[in-house]
Amino acid sequence: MSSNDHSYDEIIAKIVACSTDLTAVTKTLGPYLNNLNENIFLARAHGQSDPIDALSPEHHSFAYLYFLLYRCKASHGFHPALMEKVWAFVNTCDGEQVRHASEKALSFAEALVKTATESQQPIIAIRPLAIFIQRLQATPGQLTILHPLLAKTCLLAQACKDILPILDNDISDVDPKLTHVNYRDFLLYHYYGGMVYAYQKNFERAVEFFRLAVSAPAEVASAIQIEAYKKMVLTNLLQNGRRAVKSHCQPYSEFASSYEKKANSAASIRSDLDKIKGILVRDRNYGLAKQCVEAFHRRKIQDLTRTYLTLSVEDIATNIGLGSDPEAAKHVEGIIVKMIQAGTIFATISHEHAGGMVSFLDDPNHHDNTITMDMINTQIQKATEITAKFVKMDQTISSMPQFFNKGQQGGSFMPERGFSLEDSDYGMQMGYEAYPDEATSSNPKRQRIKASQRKRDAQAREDEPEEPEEQ
Amino acid sequence: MALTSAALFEQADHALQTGRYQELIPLYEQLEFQVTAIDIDVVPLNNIFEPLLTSYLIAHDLQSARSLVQRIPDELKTQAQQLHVLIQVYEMLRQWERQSGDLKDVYRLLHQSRWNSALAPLIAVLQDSIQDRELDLLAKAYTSLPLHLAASRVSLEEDTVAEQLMATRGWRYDASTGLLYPKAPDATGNRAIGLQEFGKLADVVAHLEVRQESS
Repeated sequence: MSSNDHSYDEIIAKIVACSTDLTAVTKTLGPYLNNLNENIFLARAHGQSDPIDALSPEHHSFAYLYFLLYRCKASHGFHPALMEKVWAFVNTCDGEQVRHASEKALSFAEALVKTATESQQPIIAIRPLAIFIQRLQATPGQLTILHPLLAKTCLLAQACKDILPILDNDISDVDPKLTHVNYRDFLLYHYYGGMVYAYQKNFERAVEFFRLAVSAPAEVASAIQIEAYKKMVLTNLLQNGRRAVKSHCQPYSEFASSYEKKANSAASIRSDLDKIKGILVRDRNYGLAKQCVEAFHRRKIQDLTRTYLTLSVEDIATNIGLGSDPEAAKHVEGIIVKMIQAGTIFATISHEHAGGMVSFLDDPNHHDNTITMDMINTQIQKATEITAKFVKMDQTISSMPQFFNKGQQGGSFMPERGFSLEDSDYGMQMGYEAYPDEATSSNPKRQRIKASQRKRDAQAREDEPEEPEEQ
Repeated sequence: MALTSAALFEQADHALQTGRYQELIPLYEQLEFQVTAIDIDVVPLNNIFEPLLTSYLIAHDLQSARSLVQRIPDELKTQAQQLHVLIQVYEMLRQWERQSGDLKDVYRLLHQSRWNSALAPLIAVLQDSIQDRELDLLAKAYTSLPLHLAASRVSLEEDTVAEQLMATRGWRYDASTGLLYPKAPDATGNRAIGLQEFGKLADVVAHLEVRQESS
């Protein structure tokens, strides 16, 4: 009917007009689109072309998102034509525009995942979402509300490659006002992310992620943190052979304690594992725990390198508690060869004596080459960047009113060293006003007056642009 | 970034012909997505799964292989003959990683199965890559090893193993003891650090030490 066509023309015109600047997008277009009936986004103009084709995913990303969102929601099973548009959209959309529609972006992502799950082809959603998140982020380290969804989807699909580049960028930017992330998003992302890394057998990063989830500030540990803790215990055993933190989750703690005792044999660790097998299976941590037992053999072998220069394969097998029959020896020889391959041990095996003799060698890498140099330089650069971020954060927090109020109440709030950070680290100039130490004033009333005066000064300073001081 | 499926296939063929096997993986991964989500039925999916799985095995990326095998629909696993064999090869390699099973079975299976002209070159590369990997490892780990141990890791017959390894890899063989002496792998030539680089590093360290003293 022509009146419908007319209204589509109107809608398209409005979208095109408002998409030119962000204020128009958020102040005008947003409310306008929110008021439209959902079906508008689904229907085609009568008999004619699809209204969505009049829009450009790149220039009208905000509105395009609405169209895709409602269409994905309404589609039962997936439609290649729709997926083609989704793919083009995520690859070309304007990050700035979609950032202002973060809740719609999440709904879109959820609809996409639902479509993929319903048609039992999760990869349909994963690759587009990974790309979409990277466009949604203002910086590579920014947490969005889509992060936990992608991580969970990858885990369920056991297809983790696409999310690795995202995971590898540590979260350094959490801005609830802008991105609408909440505490739970942070916990879940790091919990799921840790599981992805564990699945990829990157236990170092897995431990880091679980630790981030566990150590997030909270008055009461959330269920997510408890599960993250359990996995952290096991992945820490795998990575470092040691317990991470004491207490909580008794069975895991006990397993970790006995694991740590070097004197224990492989057989006893195995039996400890069997004792808590039920709990592990219930928590879905049995796979991880089994890997711990295998890793235990490797650790014991590594310990031997400290004491011995050479040892027969048979003796090694006996020593680590695997027995002295030929099968055990063959098994151990295989473990050693794998360790040599992985570089976790430096050794060679000789069969000049029956049964095989293992000679433990020194690390042939003398760390005196450019590879080591490059590594050091990279680490220094990283540390420099993080220091810069810290100083910025410190400045921001220190000039916040809440900070001053705490000072008023506490009095002894300031640590002795004050907040002056050494500037000119690595040649960078970072100006910073040192805080006068409140504790030096013995008169409480004067303290309060001083504090409120400082507060007013700080407010005044906040209004002017801060200039770094040269020192 | 948004290449058509046809263009991707072309690139994959080209990479295959010029032996640039590492490039195959990202190409086929993107194709898997596109053919599953957008250009459905443009080719049967096993035309993508087969070279992709083979490429993962050549690169010895068993994690990605595992992921892929789990994604492949069951009907396809039994219907597509080449795919069926490749999945068996993957399972055997996985067992091998866990130190059970016999590598000879892998070679036998690869050799005895029928491969179409598209996949045959990749299979040849796979066979070589498995063998080379094992031999490199043996050379790294052993100063001497019994002949039968080496023979069990390669696709060659035991009576020709010693000869071949001597000829192609410079290993030594002592018939009286039955032991092979692998040639040790070359140490990678790393450039030693120059004085100027050291100077910069020393500056940074000195700076840190000053900071530490003053805080």
